[in-house]
Amino acid sequence: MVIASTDASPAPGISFIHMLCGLAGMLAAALLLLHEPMALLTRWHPATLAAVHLFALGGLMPVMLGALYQFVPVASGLSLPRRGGFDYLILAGLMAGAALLAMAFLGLYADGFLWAGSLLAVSLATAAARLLRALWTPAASGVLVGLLRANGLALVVTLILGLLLVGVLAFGWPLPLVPLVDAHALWALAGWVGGLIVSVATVVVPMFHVTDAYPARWARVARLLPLPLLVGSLALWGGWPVVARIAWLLLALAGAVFGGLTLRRVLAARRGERDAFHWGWCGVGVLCLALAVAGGLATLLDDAHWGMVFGLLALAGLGGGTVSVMLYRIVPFLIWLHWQRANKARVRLPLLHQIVPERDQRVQLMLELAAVLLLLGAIFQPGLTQPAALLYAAAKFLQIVLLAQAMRDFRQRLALLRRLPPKVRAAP
Amino acid sequence: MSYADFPAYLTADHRHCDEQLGALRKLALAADSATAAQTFEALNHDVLAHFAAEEEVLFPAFESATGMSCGPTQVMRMEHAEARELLADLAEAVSGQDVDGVRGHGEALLILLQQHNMKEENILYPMAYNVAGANAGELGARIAGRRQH
Repeated sequence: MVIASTDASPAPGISFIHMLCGLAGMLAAALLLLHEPMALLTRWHPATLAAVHLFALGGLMPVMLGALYQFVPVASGLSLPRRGGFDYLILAGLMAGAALLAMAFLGLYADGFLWAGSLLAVSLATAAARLLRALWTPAASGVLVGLLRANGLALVVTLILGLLLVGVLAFGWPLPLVPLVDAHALWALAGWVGGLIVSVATVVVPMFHVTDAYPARWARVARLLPLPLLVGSLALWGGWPVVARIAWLLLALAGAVFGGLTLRRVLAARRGERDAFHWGWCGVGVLCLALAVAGGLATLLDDAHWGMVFGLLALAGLGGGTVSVMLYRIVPFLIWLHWQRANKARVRLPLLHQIVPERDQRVQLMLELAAVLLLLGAIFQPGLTQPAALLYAAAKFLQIVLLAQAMRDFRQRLALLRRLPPKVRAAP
Repeated sequence: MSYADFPAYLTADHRHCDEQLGALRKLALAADSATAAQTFEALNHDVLAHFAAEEEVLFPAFESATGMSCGPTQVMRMEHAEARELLADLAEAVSGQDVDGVRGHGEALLILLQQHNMKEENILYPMAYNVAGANAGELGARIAGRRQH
């Protein structure tokens, strides 16, 4: 048994490429909405379906995988062997699959569902197996490992439901489309995206904000969250809408509890800073509360608008927002850590908050928040769709520029540091 | 807390050091340099004493019981060395009343320590506890003795 050092994780460059590709996927989804201003009127609009899958599979997924490649070795203590070319191949399959799926929804490529389904199934199953293998070793323990395992399983269920939908769309399998779509969407949003955010928060909030731990009872509840998802999905399938509604309301309640617990902790944090990371995580707490309200309304009211509000808040709000906040922590730290380890000459390095200037982080996060609010407005007022999509695309473009600049500086400075002679300390 | 539960003792000590680091950053931002310097002295002492308790007591006991001297403890020692370098940078920033330096080095130290603590709390401590078996109480007492030295 060997505890992984950061050297045993995939190289940071691999994670950085995943992150930039993911942000580009989110940008592409926004550009699609710019082109189809009526898309947010209904979730069945082809452009909505295309944008949602571009955002989720070509946006959130690569960023999450890139981050997990660094995080899982730390959480599980086991190394993920370096497989540079293989990881790039998985990423290429994922991005191509997301693009083909979007084209298929837009009716641009007749065989798109089949090819997209095949590419996504292979690449996602391979990535999930790589991560779950590390998480399922006997040495891996702790609350976080248990939660991450549940997230991995939610991803697998989402993938299976997605493949069944590909079967319906590509081969006309006689399966009920609407319950399948609902279950697929909820497993993806609440099981995978929401579940992963809960898992990460359980560790990140107490440790990195210096707060009290989440109550032990919450950790037990969080591990059981796939249960209402399973019951609700089976109830949809079996035609018991009341049971399904109760299951969804339980999930909304859990979201509200998590949002409240998170917000309370971050507001009382003892980290000693009120910077973009602090306010960003306050935003995550508020978004969870808003998401719980939207989920509750979507369940209780027979109004499709609230379903759209829930989906948009979950994907672009909570998913995209948490990714943005965490990227401003993960990328500068990885850059700094690898510089520090190569800095045998002990020259002065840029400070952590200077690697991606904090003022720029705040501007980008505010732009992104404004864009999400405008997108929510566009659900009720379609005239807002284009300005909202444009603003979101601008926010993501700015983020790509900021992070790409930091990554370029990383490579240049690292090469320089490796050439410098080590500092010889004077004898005391 | 009994000495036998040394994982809980060391975990609580991690949280104690986190609190001190947060307090230091708050004081530096409030330009209270005198109290910041005192807080840094306490932080520096406590982190180094924690490392010493691990490196001089816990790790050798684990290595001798398992025969693994190049395993988890080697990685932990390497990360301790990285944290010591950061403490030196932080000392320089505190003595020079460099608020930006305290913010930057303080945040780097916090993240570095958290990812290090996660490995210790989730993996190394439970393993060391299992390996210690009936000797956990005696080992815990020696760890606490070195930490409070």
